[in-house]
Amino acid sequence: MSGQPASVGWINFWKPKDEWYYLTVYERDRLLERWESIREAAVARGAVRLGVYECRASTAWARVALWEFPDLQALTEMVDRLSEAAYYQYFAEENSFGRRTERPYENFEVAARLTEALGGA
Amino acid sequence: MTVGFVALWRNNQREFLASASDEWGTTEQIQDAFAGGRERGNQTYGLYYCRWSSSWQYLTFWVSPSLGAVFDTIADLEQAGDFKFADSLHLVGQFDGNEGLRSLGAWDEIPDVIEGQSPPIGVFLAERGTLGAAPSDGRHFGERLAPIVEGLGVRMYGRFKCRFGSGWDAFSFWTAPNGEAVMEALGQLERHLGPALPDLEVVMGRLDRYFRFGNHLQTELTWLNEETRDR
Repeated sequence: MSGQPASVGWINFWKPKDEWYYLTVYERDRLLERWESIREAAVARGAVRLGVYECRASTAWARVALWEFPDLQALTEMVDRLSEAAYYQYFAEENSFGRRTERPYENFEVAARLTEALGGA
Repeated sequence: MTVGFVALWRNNQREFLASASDEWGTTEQIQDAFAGGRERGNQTYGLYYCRWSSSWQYLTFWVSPSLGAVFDTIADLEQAGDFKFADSLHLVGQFDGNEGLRSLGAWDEIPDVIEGQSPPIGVFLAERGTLGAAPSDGRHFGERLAPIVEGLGVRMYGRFKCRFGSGWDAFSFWTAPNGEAVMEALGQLERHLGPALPDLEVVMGRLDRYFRFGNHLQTELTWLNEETRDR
């Protein structure tokens, strides 16, 4: 492991809960503005928003957002702030994350060579 | 029979709408149920927030002297109304006795948040032999695991056989000083185990001192470990 933590990719599936549809337009706008300011603060800390994609055609979710964070703490802080701001009262999520690698096949190459050395070929 | 128990849960809409009296009345009953569990010998190892890493909100892990101690405590939690606020997934497993997969003294230490340090990470790992292979017996996993993870500061709390109650062969629980150590440990396992690496499902959570009820943290009440320490 290097001293510098590798950045963290985040796959964020989400959809509104039923309650979202029954808020007033004022309440919805106020919440969206608040949540957006939290996301912008994460971006100011180095997070990168790669995009949001419609995904009902291929998943049980409505949208998937792709992000990259400088480290795990930046991600968990954003989620904490969204939790405090009632985001999870109105939206459901399923999330996955991973450490960035520039050598995605390296581990399997090492393991394959070891397997070969052990007579597994 | 020593058993391990893992609970993963997320709050439901009712929790966001609960009155203060319902929140705190239920919380008190839940505390009593956990106290009863401790009397039965259940040891709990912290509350881990995992919304950022999974479809779940919280993760917790217990070690119990018997299956009955787990069932009786869950029954008390049902009576307390714990499950009216959450959807849960529970997994129970029999300790496999492999001391190579349990760090020395692990069950005697309750992970804690230390001021000024990043909170420890709790890791739930379910394992299953890959398709076409024999069920995972933990042997290869175990031989390789200890030296890899110990160097990264990971503490292992044992491996628990759970085929009898789930679609997995076994589960384990670890703690780590940070998420990077966990990711490095899993990467090392890929390198060393290759095709012997079992199918894994991993949920990581951050150790939290306070439980979030609805949108607020219950800062009036520290999580159960504090109570345990005071006993």
